[in-house]
Amino acid sequence: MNDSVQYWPAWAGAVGLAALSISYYAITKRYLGLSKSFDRVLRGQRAEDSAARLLANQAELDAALLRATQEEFGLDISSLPAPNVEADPPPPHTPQRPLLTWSHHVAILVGLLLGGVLSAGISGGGQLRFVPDPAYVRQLGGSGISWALLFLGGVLAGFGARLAGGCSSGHGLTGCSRLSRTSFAATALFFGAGILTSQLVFGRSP
Amino acid sequence: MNRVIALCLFGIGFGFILHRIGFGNVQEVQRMFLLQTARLPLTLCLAIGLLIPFYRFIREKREQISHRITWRTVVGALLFGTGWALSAACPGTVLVQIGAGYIPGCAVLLGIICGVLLHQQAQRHWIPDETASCGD
Repeated sequence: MNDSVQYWPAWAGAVGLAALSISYYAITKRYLGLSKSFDRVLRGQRAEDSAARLLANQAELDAALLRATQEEFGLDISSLPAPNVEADPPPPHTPQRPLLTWSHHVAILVGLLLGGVLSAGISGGGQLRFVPDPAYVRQLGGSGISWALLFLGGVLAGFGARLAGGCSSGHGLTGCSRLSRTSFAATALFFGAGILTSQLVFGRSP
Repeated sequence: MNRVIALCLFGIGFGFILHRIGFGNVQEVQRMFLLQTARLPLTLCLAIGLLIPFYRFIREKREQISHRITWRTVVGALLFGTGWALSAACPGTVLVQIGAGYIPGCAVLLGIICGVLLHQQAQRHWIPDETASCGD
C-alpha cells in the first residue's frame, strides 16, 4: 500500500485532529467516538431513532420506564402516585443536546469514506489495490490467510471497541483529553496489545 | 438535514486528516506498532495536549467523568489493540482505507460489522450494559 502521500508532521496532524474534535462537539454537544457510530448504525434506523426521541422527551421516557417496570414485576401502574414534575424538575446542569439520529451517524461514516477518497484523489494515490499489503503475504505466506487475518482483526477490533466503551478516537483522543482514568488505562492497554501482537506477527523475519 | 450535512462534512474532514496523518495507511500503522516511528503516537499526544484545555473549559460543573476500570475496559482494550494491530485499521480508519482504494479493507470492515453485532448480541444475552466510559 504505497501511497504517494506526503504525510503531515505530528504538530499539523494534532492541530487538525483537535480542530475536528472541537467542531464535532460544536455540532453535536457530544464527545467524539467513532465505534459508537458503527454501533448506532447497525442497530437499525427505527430502533435508533425511537430510542433517540425517547431520551429527548423526559415524560415519554418516564412512561416507557414505568411500562417496562410493570411488565417486569407485574405492578399495577394505577396504584402508583403520578410523578410530580414541578416538584422534581430536571437538574439545572442537564446539558441540552440535539438529537443524534441514525441518519447523523450514517453521515459521519459516509463522510469518513469520502474523506479518504478526497485525500487520496488529491495526492494522486487513489488507485485501487485488490491485494493485502505485501507485509501480510510476506509474513503469512498466502493471500487467503492474509484476508482471513484482516477479517479476524476486524472482528476483534469491533467487539473490543464496544466492550471497552470506545476505540482510538473515543478513548484515545477524547477520553484522554477529558483526563478520564478509564481512557488512559484503555489506551495504554490497546497500544500495549498492539505492539505485542505486531512484534509476534510482523516483527519476525519471514 | 442541516446537521446531517454538517456531520457529513465533519466526516470528510476527519477522514481527510486521518489519511494525511497516515492512520489510514497499513504500513504506517504497522511501523507504529513495531516501534519504528513515533510520529503517529506523537500526533495523538499533541492533539490530546491541545484538547485538554478545551474540554476543561466546556466541562459542566457537575459532569461526571468515568474513572472506573472494569474487566470490560481491560478485556475490550486488549481485544481492540490486538485487532487493530492485525488489521492495521480501527472503526474510523478502515473507511478511510477503503475510500483511498485499499479494497482488502472491506474484509476488515466486514469483520468490524460482525464484531459490533456480536457485541450487541452479547450485551443482550450475556453481558448487560454498564455506563459507557466515553462518548454518550
